[in-house]
Amino acid sequence: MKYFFKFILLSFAVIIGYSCSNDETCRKNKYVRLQVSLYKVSLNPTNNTFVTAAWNVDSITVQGVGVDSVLYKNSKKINLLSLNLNKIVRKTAYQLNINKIKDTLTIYHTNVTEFLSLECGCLKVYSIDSATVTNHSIDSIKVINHQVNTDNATNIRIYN
Amino acid sequence: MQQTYAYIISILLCFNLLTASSEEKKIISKPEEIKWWSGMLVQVDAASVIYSTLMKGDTYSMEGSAQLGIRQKIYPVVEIGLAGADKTMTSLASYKTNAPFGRVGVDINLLSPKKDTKPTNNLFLVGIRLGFSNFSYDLNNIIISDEYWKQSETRNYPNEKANKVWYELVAGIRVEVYKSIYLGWNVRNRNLLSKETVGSISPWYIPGYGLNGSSNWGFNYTIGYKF
Repeated sequence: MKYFFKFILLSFAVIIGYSCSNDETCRKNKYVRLQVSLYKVSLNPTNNTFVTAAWNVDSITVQGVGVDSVLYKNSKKINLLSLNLNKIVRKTAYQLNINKIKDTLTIYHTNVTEFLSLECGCLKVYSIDSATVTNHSIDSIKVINHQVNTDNATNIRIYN
Repeated sequence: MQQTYAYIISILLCFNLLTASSEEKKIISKPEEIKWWSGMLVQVDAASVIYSTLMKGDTYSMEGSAQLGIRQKIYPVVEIGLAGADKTMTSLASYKTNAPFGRVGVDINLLSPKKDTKPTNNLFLVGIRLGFSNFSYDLNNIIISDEYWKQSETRNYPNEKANKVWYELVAGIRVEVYKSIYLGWNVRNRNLLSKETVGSISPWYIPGYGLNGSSNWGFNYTIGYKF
């Protein structure tokens, strides 16, 4: 009979030990940003060829068109921008104020909803359909990677 | 970490009881023949009921089993149950399901009766199960908010279908505490065989398996009667 009581007591200890708390923390990566690199194209006078190099702008302010808050405010000496694409609609436009000259970058994208878990909810990833830019301080742009996801690889190059 | 404690306690308890039963056997000297058929044990699981109470209705489960005994060595088993979940997260995302599940498998008794001792009804069992559950679930109120662009949308996925298969590695003990009445417990390592596509809708809780993940741990505390 003493084994019976041992059995009961220790078994309930196991049950209580097993009953872990319910954790709602999301531990999955949900950081998805459009990565834009800035490049400057210049002519090398010695051999008369074009040289492409990172464009560390003196000053840049980036703001979504139609919203109040800015993504970059008078940032100095940067050549990489991480921008929030709109999760709900398929067109996202930014106003870029580079060295006090304004340009508008417009991205047309397909939004894909990925379910992560009940704790994390859904993640939006994107496929860039096309991109346009005005040409005041920017010469051109090139989409080098259409997939915008948690890899955070460079998606667009902006050339001055 | 708590599951690790449970596992350690389980192992300690197992050795404790097995040592005790081997001491009992030494007293009996007359050998008895091991029967080919050692009856059918019908069991219910108390741990799932207690665990359901501790989860305060977020998840609930009840299950029972029927197990045959062959030469006090091999124990084929069928387990059936009903389980579900009704969970609302702090984000207001909710998950609901309720479905039956089943498992089939076999246990092997690792205790061999010593020569010139009576066969004991105290068992140290290891085994394997194949579990399955075909169920539907509702996944509602998944809010996708865009803090920067100040917009949001809500996704609902009602009546999603799922068919899950998994295997379980089981180890535990069972003791005859009174004539034909048995108590036992076992720990289980469950592993999903059904793989999910990344990004696709998936259930939070799988009846009979528990919280969705490539593997998890379970515990059963059984009360049974042998016919």
